[in-house]
Amino acid sequence: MSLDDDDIPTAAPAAATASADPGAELGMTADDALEEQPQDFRNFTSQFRKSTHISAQTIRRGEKDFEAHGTRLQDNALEQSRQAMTEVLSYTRVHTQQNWTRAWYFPDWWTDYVEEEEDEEQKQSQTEKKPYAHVRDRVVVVESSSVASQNLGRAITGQAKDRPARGKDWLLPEEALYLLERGSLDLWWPTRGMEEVFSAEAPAAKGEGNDLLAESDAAPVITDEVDEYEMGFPLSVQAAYSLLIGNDGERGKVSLQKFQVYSNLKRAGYNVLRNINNHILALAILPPHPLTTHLPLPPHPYGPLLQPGLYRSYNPIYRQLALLPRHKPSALPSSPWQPADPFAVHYYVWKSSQKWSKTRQPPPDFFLAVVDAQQTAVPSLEEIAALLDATPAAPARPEWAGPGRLYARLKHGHRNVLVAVVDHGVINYMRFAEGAFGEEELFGRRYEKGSFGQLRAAHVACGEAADSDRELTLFEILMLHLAATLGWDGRAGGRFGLVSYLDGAIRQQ
Amino acid sequence: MAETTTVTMPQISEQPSQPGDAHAISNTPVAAGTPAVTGQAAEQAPAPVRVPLNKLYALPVPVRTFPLPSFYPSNPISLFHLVYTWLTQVIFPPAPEPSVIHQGVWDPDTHSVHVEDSKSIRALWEQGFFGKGSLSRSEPNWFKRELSRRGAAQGSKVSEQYTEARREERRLLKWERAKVELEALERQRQEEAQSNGVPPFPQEFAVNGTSEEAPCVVKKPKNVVVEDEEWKIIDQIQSPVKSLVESAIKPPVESALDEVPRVARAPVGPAELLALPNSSAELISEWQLVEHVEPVVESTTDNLSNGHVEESKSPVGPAELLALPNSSADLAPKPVVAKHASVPSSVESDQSTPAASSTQGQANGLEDAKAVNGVLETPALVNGANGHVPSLPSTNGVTEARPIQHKELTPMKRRKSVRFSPRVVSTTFQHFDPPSPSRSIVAASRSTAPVPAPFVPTVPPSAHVGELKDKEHFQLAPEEAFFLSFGLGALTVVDPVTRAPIPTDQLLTLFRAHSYFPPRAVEILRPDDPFLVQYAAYHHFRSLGWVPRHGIKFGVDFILYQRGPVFDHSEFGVMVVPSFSDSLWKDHQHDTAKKSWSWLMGVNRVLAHVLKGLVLVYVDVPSPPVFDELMRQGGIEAALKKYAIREVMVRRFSVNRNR
Repeated sequence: MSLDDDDIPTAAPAAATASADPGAELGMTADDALEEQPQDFRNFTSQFRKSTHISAQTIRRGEKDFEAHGTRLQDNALEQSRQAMTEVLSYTRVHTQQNWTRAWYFPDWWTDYVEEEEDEEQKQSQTEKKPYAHVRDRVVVVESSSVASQNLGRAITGQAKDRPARGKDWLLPEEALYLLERGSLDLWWPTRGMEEVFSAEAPAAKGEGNDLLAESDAAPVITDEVDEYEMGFPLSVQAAYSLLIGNDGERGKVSLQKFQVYSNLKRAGYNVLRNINNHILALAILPPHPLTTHLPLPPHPYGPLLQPGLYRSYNPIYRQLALLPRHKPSALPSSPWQPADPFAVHYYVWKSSQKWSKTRQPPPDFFLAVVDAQQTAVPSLEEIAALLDATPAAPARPEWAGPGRLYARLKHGHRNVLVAVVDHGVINYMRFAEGAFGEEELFGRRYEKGSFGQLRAAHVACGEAADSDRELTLFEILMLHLAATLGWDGRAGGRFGLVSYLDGAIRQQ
Repeated sequence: MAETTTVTMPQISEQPSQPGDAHAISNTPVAAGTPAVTGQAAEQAPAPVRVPLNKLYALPVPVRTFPLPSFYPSNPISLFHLVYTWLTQVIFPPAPEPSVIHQGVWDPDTHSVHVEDSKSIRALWEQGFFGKGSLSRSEPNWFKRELSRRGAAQGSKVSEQYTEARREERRLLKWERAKVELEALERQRQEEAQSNGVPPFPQEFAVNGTSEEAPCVVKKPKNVVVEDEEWKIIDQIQSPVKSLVESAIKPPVESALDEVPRVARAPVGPAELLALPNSSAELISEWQLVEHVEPVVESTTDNLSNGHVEESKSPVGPAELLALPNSSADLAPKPVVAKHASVPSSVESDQSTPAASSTQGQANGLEDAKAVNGVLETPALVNGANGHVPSLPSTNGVTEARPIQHKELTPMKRRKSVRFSPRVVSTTFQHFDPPSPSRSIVAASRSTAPVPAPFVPTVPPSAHVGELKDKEHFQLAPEEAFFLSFGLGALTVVDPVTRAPIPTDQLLTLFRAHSYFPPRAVEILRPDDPFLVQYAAYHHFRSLGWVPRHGIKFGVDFILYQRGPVFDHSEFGVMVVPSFSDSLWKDHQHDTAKKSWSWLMGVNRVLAHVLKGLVLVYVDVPSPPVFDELMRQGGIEAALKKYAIREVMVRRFSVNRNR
């Protein structure tokens, strides 16, 4: 995960952090400091001249001068930055023919496309985990594919041959709006039916191929002096917003918050797809824990939990103190609750660096829920547990094992989900991870001294958990010591016959 | 306020801790304490042998263990050692652990359990970091600090003083950094001025703000505060003086005056100076100008002499300016200070002027003289503004006059009490010195009230040490006390009045009732009492080996240490969130308030600033019927088994850094 570059400094040993740390004094994490620095437009413009591929990552941020100190150096720097900014802003944006396409708004074309699709999708998702197509929500059909829309939209397969616009890509509302705002799409309102709009181009498309389709479409309009607006008329951005933005759950519309998050992520370079239905992932639900099982009555209802006696190590002491049920993460979803809007996975997010196409993707890098900051609150246990269970298990890397990366492991968690909190258009992404402190017992590691402690820990590791706290006989102790000195390493054991023999011997007593 | 301006006083402050508590590891020497005291301490006693921290804080809970020694087949004697140890433990078994049961007193006023026995205090702190000293940040070390404050050697290594030293170090570091920046800036200006061919002098006050900071550069850090304030005062004073002048002077001159601090058109050359009209307004503006520039030019002339010396020696420095013919220095009568210091009548009114307080660190006698001077100079200045040129005092006189004038024109904003020791023995004063009676504000307002006799420290500092008593007690939060008594059995809590031990079940009820304010009746206690919810989280982390401590300083419920505040910084802040997932809760009243997103972001921000991660700990509270049934059957032990814990790690996700 990319989060580990943040985790490394915090996993540093305590001795290093004990010295006076100016960073801590300033109270800035590296993350925040980077985001709050101003952009240095001079660097931007140097990038800008060199190539057209400008990545925001390459823009270094400079230091901020808070007051004028009257030197010419400062004045020059300021002037340069202004110049650079002017240059960047005065760049003329050109819409090339390859990067532009026309799309038509047909809101009701797929309303009857319901049952068969869902069945099919369920089957698909179980086999190859293809994203649910959301066919009913697709309301915009693209005339031709362009560079910008290549990774968006979806052609609906399995249609009759004589159906108009067969093989065309259909866009979801957020995809259409994103392209529209980007300037690579013209959204048109049809005044004729689907058959008429697409019948004119169908032969041309066959003849000339997809790439030239836009030109072939434009050419007859001019030469034949046909009325350009015969089939429909273009929509303004405002009109497109009013057609495509709606409430959650409205067919063919997307909520404003979701669109804002979607376009924010797309502009940051991520690949984003709408999720498949939640119930599909949450199929394997274990039966909920019975809440009122009969417990053996404790001998001392009001403590002390720790029975007075002689203790050879801290393990039995802490085992007696263990009282509250701890969460045990598992590969399968374990919570008895169902995810419900708004705390449900809405988008799958992939990092831009991966090989990705709209039909074939690796497993998503992030799972994202979109919530409104004003309408919702911090999730309750049911909401966050169900949301986390809607994501696959993502345990920490195996090489993070051991005491050195304890904090990194804990912070990474066993599952994680992103929640985009949208407050009037300002988006804050929070990462929630399923923590399991119960998996990291501190006492066993630190306070076990000598080979006996090692062996005791090994015993626990061998699976003999609760009843290993009784006193061992001297014979057993000697045998265990002997085993330890014969080179049997405590924790990694369990495979050796000697260990199982000893285990058996101890159990019999 | 008064403490901050004094420099020589040893500062032992009771500040709340700042990010990170790993004080004991830092090896920086403690700088507090006057040199005389430390010298004395070195003679008194050799430094005590330091116990390694690992040994001192070896036990994670106040329970001892008796591990058997290791057996090595290559070393047969180790077998005998092993057998001997085992046999002695069988034949003469040690007292069952926990062998020491501490005693705490329930204090209903503070909702905490007080521990008064000093052995118990040390044991509880060292074995698991329970509780906090009532007069300390966390570790109960008020006694040690007090000893060190009074000059003993033992107390010089307490965490609060490490923190103080570290802060001082950081302050110096920042100061150094600012100095370097300013110097670089200065050099840049010099270079530009050189390349321009314009003398650097007018550039200095082209920007008003920076030129005023320049004196900080050349002075010692300790004096920075004082110097700064003086300059600030001068800055504040400018406007009244200006307005005064504006009222008297005709427009063209006034506009020229306005432009002086901003535009680099000051009359520096002799020709310009001579060409100036001889009015008093011009003179005043010149005085201001000289005042501003003087300290800066010191450094610039240094630079000049080091590097490139200018050949055309135009009179740019203040000395040269003043030496010029016809400048106002000739006109000003010099011995103003001596003359007016002999006038005693105005002393009473000056005790709270900015001038007096700002230079408090300096000699008191000098202080008086200045103030006297200032008061008497005021009319002179007004006269000067009216065109009375010869009565203008020397430059010193003008600066000292301004604060007084400021006081008369605008109401004083800063509140500072000035303390004068009745006997001027040194330039420093003790922390406990009272304000000098005749000058205190109270005495000025109610002059008839009897003046309390000033406290004079007659006993030398070291004499206090012997009779000093440890007045600090130790306080355990309810969660800690309950864990110690219910979990470990290492604490009995006694009633404050009867001194009878409180049984654990009553203790639980007590804590639960007192987790509300005002304390609730026993009948309406619920399973989601704040105490029960917090205790569930506390017990959870304690039983896993973590050291949870209350984290209100960081805006959270608990902070989690892996070993303890002595060893490491805490890595996590815990917010406890009660959860009511049981369907039976629908029929019962419970806390339904939900935390807003801004709350979460705020907590997360604060924790990120102190490099900690946020953990939301959801405590799933059993419904009242289940809870009551379990309490009846198996007591709190059975009931606590129904409080399920879920931890959720929260952090901000940066879109820009993860793609």
